[in-house]
Amino acid sequence: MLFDTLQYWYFFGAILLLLGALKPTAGKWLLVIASYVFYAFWDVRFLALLGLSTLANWAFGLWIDRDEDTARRRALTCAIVFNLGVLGFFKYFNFFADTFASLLHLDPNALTLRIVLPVGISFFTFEGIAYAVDVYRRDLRAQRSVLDFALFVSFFPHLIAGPIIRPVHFFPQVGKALALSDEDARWGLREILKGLFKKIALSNFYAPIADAYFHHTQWSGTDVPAWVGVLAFSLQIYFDFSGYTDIARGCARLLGYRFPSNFERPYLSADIAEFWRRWHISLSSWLRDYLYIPLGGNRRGEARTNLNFLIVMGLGGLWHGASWNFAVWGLYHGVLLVLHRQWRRAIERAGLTPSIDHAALRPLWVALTFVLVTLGWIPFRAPDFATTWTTLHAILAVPDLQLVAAHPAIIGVPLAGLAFCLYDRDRRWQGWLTLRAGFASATCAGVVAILALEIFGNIDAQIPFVYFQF
Amino acid sequence: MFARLAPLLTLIAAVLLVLGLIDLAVFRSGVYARLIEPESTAGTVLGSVYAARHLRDPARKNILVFGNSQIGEGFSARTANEASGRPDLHFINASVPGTSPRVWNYLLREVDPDGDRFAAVALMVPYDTFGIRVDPANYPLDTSYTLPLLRLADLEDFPASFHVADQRERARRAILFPLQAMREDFLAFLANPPHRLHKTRKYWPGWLDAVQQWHGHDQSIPAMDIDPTSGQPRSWDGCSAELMPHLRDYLDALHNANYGSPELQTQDKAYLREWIGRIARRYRAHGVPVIVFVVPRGPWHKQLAPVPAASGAIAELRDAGDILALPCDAFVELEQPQYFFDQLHMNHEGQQKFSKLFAAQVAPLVH
Repeated sequence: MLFDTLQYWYFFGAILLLLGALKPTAGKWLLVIASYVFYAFWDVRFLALLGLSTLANWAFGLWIDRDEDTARRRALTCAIVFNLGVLGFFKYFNFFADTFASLLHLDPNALTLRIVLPVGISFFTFEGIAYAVDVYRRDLRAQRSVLDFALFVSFFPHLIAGPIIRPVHFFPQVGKALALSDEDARWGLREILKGLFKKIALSNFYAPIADAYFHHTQWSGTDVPAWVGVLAFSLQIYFDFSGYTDIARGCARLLGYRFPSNFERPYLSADIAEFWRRWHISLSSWLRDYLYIPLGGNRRGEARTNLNFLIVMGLGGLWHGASWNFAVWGLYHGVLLVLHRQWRRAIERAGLTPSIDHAALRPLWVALTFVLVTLGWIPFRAPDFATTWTTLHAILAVPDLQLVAAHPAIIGVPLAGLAFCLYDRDRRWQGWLTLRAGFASATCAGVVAILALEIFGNIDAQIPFVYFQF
Repeated sequence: MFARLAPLLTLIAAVLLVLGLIDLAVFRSGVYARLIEPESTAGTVLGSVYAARHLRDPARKNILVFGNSQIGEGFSARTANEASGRPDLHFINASVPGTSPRVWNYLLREVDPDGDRFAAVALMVPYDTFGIRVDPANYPLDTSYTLPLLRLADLEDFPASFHVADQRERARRAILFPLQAMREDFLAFLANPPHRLHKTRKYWPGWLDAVQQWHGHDQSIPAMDIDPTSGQPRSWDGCSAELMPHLRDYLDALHNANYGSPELQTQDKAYLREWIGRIARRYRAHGVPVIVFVVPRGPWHKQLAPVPAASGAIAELRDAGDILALPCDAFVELEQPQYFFDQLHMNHEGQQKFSKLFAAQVAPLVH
């Protein structure tokens, strides 16, 4: 059940109406049942896994909360081992078995198993770990109610592809009666329509171009130059994932829950560290809080800090998928973060910080960061290292502009997006629409958004969300 | 319930109301249908509607003839009118390339809402499943063809006629959001509105003449000797390079007696029973005969394939008195290379002979 299908919106509408009619406890039951139904649409076989993971993490939470000192630490270790064990088995067993087999020149079929990757497993296992660690750190008490905990894990707007929800943010919202304010309604609808437009109109426009390049086929009757293919993927993945997140946040808000922001216009970042504060924020902050800081963060000297960057980003890359390509992508970002850190230290020592950070130079740094991030998407998207190398070589050639001349939208869309971001740089217009616009203006905005979706949306393409595979 | 969701429901209701009004004014009213690119998929269907409405002669008994491109190329209404020997009869060619009975059902609903405007309806129907590759119920272009004919009331019925979920979803969306379904046409219109307005104004009257005067193709397939062992010509001399692969596939299918898997045959039967049945039931109430016939099937069918037998759904409907079926061998004589210009379509000579034979077969059935 994809967010860009009518089936999902029938489902969501029915749940919303029912929720509006129920008392809080019954509402929680409804949302848990609905979330399991939603999950069953993907693969009914993994309902048991979701249920088991929920029960185990709930029990681990109680165990951690109850005990002190060593026993408490042991319980936390068990919780982390359990979650990483589940994730490792379903997501990485074949990957490591395959790598091991190729290193020892063994037949990979002898070691690998026929394992199907349960959708959303990377997200709900990370949430399980976050919960265990938060309880261990006494940031929150363990949940006594298994129903509340099941809702936290399975709540369908974030179940399949995040954002990764923090228990400390979620649990205080559970159990409140649904009563939508005008702001909730407008905010939720705005995010849903914005997300649908990003996905259906923009991501679905770029996806076939990127696919054509990486599959060595044609798009619109012509070969796709490397730089267009890579740019297309860079835009596809942003519009796809941020669009998904917008829809998820909008749906959650209409159901009475607030999800944190997951994207803050990341392609307008002026350096790579800023990029990671604005891209997939729920994952990068998870990695920071539950991996980087426990590894020592930046408190153990320069060399260890740099190593921590590489470890965290390398594992963050592997989190996306069981492939060395993802690890390379993560390590590439780790290296960029290390270089960025050294660069900042160097200019600080030289007293150049005010000049380098001058507002007039910001467009240059934004462009540089965008180019570096976009180059990083090559190993992320390429099926193998050979394609990565070929693409890197091809991208250095003189740009072929024929395709862009024939289809100016390829460049026009990001330029229009940039113009919109500059115009609405503080999101005042979006805020006005939510908080201050009259009813007629809000209605008109909704109508225009839906008409734009109808005209520009490529719904028939039926392209799955990129992050569903993770 | 409504109080707790009131701000949301009010806003959604207002948005839907305005969208509904726009939809009503632009799409459901038929305003946009007049602006659709005439040479698009939906445009060809509108051409059929236009022909059925404008060529109908109230002073005579009108016989609407439906089919795909085989009828478009192979049937001349003017020749049939001249050859029928019945000045009171008036044949109208309402064929649309690439269509089948599901589309014709909605076409008939559009041009003949009460089922009483025509004296007979003739439908080209394959009596066998030669060359069938997919379940006809899942033909994806049917939604595009039917788009300008669908109404909100079809929201359950039309999508349910597809057997795969994504086609159903697409059909449902097309009914609910016609702008989305016609977005490419609409974007092309927006790119140059004066050009489209000019084209549609000029196109339809000229097109009506073209339908009436359509001469057909003069060239024919060269007579080639078929090797019974391979099923292929002993020599391809005289055959164009463009035609050769199509003829090769056609002859292969004939040689291998490719009538589809039993599953496909069952699906085809169910499809015909459903859609021919619907058309027949609609007209039975008015005593309007629904006549089905097999168009000449291909240039070597007479030589290499058995005469089709009316079986399955067609036989059931005929035996139940719902339809009249022309004899299976009525046009077999025309299944020869000299009457075809490719593996599927009759040429001018075939068209003339078929139209005369067809008129002679149909005229006695229309009272």
